[in-house]
Amino acid sequence: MMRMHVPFRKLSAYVDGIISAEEKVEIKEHLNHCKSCEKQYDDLKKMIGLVSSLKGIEIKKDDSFFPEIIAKVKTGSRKKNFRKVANISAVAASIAVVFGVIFLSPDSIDHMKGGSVFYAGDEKAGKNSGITERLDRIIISSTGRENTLRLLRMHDVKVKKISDSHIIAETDAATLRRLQQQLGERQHARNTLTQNVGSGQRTVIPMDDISFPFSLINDGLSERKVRIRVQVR
Amino acid sequence: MSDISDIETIDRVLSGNLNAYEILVKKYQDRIFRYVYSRIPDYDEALDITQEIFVLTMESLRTFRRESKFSTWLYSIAINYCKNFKRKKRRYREVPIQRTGSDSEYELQLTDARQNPERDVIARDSLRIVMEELQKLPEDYRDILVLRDIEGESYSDIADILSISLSNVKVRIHRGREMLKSRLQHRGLL
Repeated sequence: MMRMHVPFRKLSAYVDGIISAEEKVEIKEHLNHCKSCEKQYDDLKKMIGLVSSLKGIEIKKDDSFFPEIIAKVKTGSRKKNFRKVANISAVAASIAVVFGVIFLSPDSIDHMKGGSVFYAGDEKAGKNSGITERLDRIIISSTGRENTLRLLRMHDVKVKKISDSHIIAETDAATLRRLQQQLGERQHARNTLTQNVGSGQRTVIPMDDISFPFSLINDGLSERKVRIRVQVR
Repeated sequence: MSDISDIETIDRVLSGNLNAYEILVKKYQDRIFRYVYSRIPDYDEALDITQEIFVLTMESLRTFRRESKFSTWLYSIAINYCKNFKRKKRRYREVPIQRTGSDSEYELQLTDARQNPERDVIARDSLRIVMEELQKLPEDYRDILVLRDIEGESYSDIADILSISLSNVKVRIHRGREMLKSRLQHRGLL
């Protein structure tokens, strides 16, 4: 029987079952007689149990997570070009999605598992602000952060938070509609581009030629303020 | 060797069936998200990064050599992405900005309206504390505990994912656990 206390590293290995059969028997026997080591062992087991409970953290299941990935791949929102991965025709056939509209439900920022472990309290925020603090729109910008910021400011959109990957901003429905008008002017160019690519030509899409960076559609917004997250390239 | 079903799916994607990639995304999105979230404790940002990792993985799919499991390769991409992201983030910190309006100058409110999203997100106190303390661990120990104690990866898979020796994995696991245990005792959880 072991006379000294079981070192922590041995207990850790014992929990994971990565010790020899002989050591296993010795430790087991020691734990039966040593309160101190037994407490260490129980605490370790409890801690591992708590940590493993974090597996309850999940992305809230919605329909936008995967389409956004595909849209990013197709738009080449990352530096690399997906044409290395799939053949050009497969990309061309679905290039319309490149300039499609990607909206996420405000609830997409929630995440939970089975309603029992974690959930977001996003809707509770901003009740006294007079405007909604919910994240109403997620918009994919086809241009970089600086250009996107310039455009937002041009339209007097209130920027609230800036990070490397996105910009949180606030605007009103009227501004949103103005943006939509601009988008409409470029829709024709986009359609033409889509046709060209769809016809099988190996067209390099001049993303920078499309100066308006957002994809927005009118879905009957009221006059209320909306909070948007613009994902930048 | 990689899981056969993963390999089949990868072949379908590479042959042009982009939608088949959803099978892989659905299978691994939560695991990757949890890893990212353990390093970047902001739900929205962690979600964005998880997406970016899947975009990067899809773009690099042809370079997957199939000598290891797909999940091992995916984790390696996630780990490198997060390291680079944090390095970049240190260079470009989020800072309050001033904006000049037509009439007056005013400071913009840059903090997230929810103030501390994870506090809202994680309702159960004990788990919130565990996550907080896990996030505070040094990178080497945090990564390994996420892989071992949350995801249940085997020692040898962890060695592959982190490109370290098996003995190093053992050492990091017990040291990480020891460190976390002490922190949780201090927080009154043990």
